[in-house]
Amino acid sequence: MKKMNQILWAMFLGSALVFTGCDDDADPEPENEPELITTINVTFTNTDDADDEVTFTASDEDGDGMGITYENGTLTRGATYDIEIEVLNETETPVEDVTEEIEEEDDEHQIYFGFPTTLFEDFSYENTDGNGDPLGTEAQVTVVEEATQGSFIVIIQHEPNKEANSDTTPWVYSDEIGGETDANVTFTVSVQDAEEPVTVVRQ
Amino acid sequence: MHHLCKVLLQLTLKDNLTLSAQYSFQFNRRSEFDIRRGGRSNIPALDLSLATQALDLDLEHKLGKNWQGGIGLNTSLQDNDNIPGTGVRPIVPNYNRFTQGVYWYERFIGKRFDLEAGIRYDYQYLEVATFVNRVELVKPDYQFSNASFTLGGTYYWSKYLTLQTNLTRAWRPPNISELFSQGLHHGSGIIEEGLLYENGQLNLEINPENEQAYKWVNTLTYQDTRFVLEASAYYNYIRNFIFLSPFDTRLTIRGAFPVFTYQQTDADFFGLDINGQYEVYKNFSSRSKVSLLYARDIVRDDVIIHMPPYRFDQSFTYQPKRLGKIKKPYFTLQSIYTARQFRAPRVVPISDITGLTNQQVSDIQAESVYDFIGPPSDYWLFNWQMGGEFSLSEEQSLQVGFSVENVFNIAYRDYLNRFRYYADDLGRNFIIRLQYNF
Repeated sequence: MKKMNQILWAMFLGSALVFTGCDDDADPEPENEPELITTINVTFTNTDDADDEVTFTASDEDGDGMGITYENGTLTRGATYDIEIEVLNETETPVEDVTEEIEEEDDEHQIYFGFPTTLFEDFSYENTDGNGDPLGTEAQVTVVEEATQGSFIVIIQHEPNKEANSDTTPWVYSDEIGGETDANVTFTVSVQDAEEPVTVVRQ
Repeated sequence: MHHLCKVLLQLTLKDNLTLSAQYSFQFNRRSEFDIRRGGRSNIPALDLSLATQALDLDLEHKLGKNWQGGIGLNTSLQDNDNIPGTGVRPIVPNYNRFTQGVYWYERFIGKRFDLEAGIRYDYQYLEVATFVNRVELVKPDYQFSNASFTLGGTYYWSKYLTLQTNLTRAWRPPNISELFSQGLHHGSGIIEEGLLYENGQLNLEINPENEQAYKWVNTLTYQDTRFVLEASAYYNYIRNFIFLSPFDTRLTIRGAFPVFTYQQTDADFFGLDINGQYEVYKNFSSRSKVSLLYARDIVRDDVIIHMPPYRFDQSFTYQPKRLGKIKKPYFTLQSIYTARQFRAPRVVPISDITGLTNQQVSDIQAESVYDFIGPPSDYWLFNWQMGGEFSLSEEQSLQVGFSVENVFNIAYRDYLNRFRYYADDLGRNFIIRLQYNF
């Protein structure tokens, strides 16, 4: 009988411990994702004509979720453009400007670019990190005179090995550069001829 | 951080009746870090609290010399939570899981043969808290239950030869990642979607089914002083077999990624495993292993993706008692041949899918399971292991081991490794092991 009591006690203690785990959990809150990138705006401004400003946008409203939408644009043949890149997290209120974080940690980031030589020429980085290596939130490029429609790739790389950049084309990403890809978007660039300057003929 | 507490109670009630009870409590706090932007690298990207309690009761009885058996109870309660504040969407939702199992088995131990039979009933209650579209909290709950049994016998043919046969029915409910996986896995570079997702959206109307298996295994064992052979043939029928399969590609802001979804089907498996060990000469032995598997999707009358290909493993070991000052030395040369999985699904390259309309992609999906790339070629790997023990004093000794994996630095891809979509497997690998005993 004594033994039986021991067993009953053991079972009772055991079950008591098991069921103390059953208290209701508090409802979880959705996690804020400050590092999420939802939107990339690439603005081309004609260096000769500030009115010729074209913004290309890639947006994915919930980050890694259900696909991406693009807004593409048309550039002018033969024109030189300043490129400015803006990276946003629109899930935050107010909208978080991720570009600031990228520029603060400029040595740990680089924006790489990809385009056919039938579209762009004379590409140059317009900003650098503290070590004098390219950063790429600002750049400049010229549209080829005989340009045809083409794709334009923008890759935001975190912790790339900038030493591995190509000497002649430091904007081209290769596997040797490594790092983690924060964004990789491809825009379609249409081209048009420059409008003929209007000549007013006096008679 | 890991805490474990265990209490074991064993009581002999009568000569032939033993009760054992074990209670255990386990607490894990798991934090994983990543390289992050904005000085967040010291904030965990994954922060989990995992608490598990288990109570196991087993009452064992003996009836005379030949009968023994038992009844028992397994209870467990698991509370897994994501600790808020990571700034990263959790990969696994918060959940509580309660499981209860009861079983009864009897064993007859005879002179020439043993017989064993057992039945078991399991119940599982799963309560999940997750989000739809990142913000809307949902708390679905699921109940799974099923009965399983086992029936087996062993026949001692002679001093050397034993025959064994076993028929079991088993089941398992889908686990939490098979149900709720959603999103990009940064480790493997693929997007995974669980059974409850449909076109990337959580669909709580879906009723996931238990995996139910019927397995018949026959094993023949021969053993004498120099030669051991074990051959095991099995047939396994699994209803609602859960597998992860290529499904689509998805363009995200991080680029295009392959999408894999968990799917269920009914499947047949036929397998043969042979293990042999032979002492060729004094201290010199040979060991051989053969694994063959044939798998079939019954519903689609098709192959099943990611099934292990045929494998042959042969090794030779020289193991003298002593070699000079070295105690228990060993030298092993192992060679493993892995065949190409010729029963792999058809290939639809990613480049073919990305340009298609949704309708065209659904047509491909409906036709049969497919893979983004074909199965890797067969490969032959060689490994070398050697080691021994040096005595330093009466009590102190040093164990030394040196091994080389993939000696010839063969470039290969393992069909079952998801990295095969991107890169070769490991090249030559040197491993040095030192163990100081004192």
